[in-house]
Amino acid sequence: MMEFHEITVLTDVSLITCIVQHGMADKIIEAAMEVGAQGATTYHGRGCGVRERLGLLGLAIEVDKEIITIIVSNDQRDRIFERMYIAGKLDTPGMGLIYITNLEKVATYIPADVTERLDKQKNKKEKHAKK
Amino acid sequence: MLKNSKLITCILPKGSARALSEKLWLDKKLNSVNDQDARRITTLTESTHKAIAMENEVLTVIVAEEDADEIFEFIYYEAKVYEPNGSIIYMTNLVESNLFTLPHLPRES
Repeated sequence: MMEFHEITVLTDVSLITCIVQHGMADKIIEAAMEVGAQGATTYHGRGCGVRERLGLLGLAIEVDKEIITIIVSNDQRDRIFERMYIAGKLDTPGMGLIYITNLEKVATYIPADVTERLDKQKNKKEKHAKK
Repeated sequence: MLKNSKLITCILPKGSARALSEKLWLDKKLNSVNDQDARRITTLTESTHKAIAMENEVLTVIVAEEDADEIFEFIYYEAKVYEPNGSIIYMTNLVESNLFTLPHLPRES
């Protein structure tokens, strides 16, 4: 039987996706975590397009890619984005791609003490609004 | 084509995605479910604040706008996202997506 809990969703969050050559993900994730990212998910992909256009120089670009996704709050978003961009040298041709997607909502495990604190803040705001 | 559809993504502990995909297919008749392996790095918030790496699975499903909240909740409860198992679920807007229909093939006996 499923237990039913009230779902606490997070809004004001974005998803940063970064596609880089295989082996580059770790240092980009480290850079993101230094400026506040709580974690990252990485998975494997394959790229095409840039290699073919660069001709011989394209041999220096790996086909295998690592795709990094990080969920961030909107107030940290630009700082983390910039840091990842710099760490991955994404201004260099062929090094990779990074983009931000707005998330409508996010849900995850929230410790009980945090939900209590959020409920108290919400009740306070409602009381002030009534006054 | 589906206009204003939603993409629901759920990061799950390793070994959970296949069962959940089947449930979505059987109970909700969804055939636009994909799952892939991933690795995740996350910070422990309790004592050491050290980063740990773990194997995860990522499940994605595209749904129509009117069904999105129902499917989001379904996955939230089935995957027990409310438990401290490292799961996270999120939803994003899609401008447009195609309807993934399956060919009519006779069922294998």
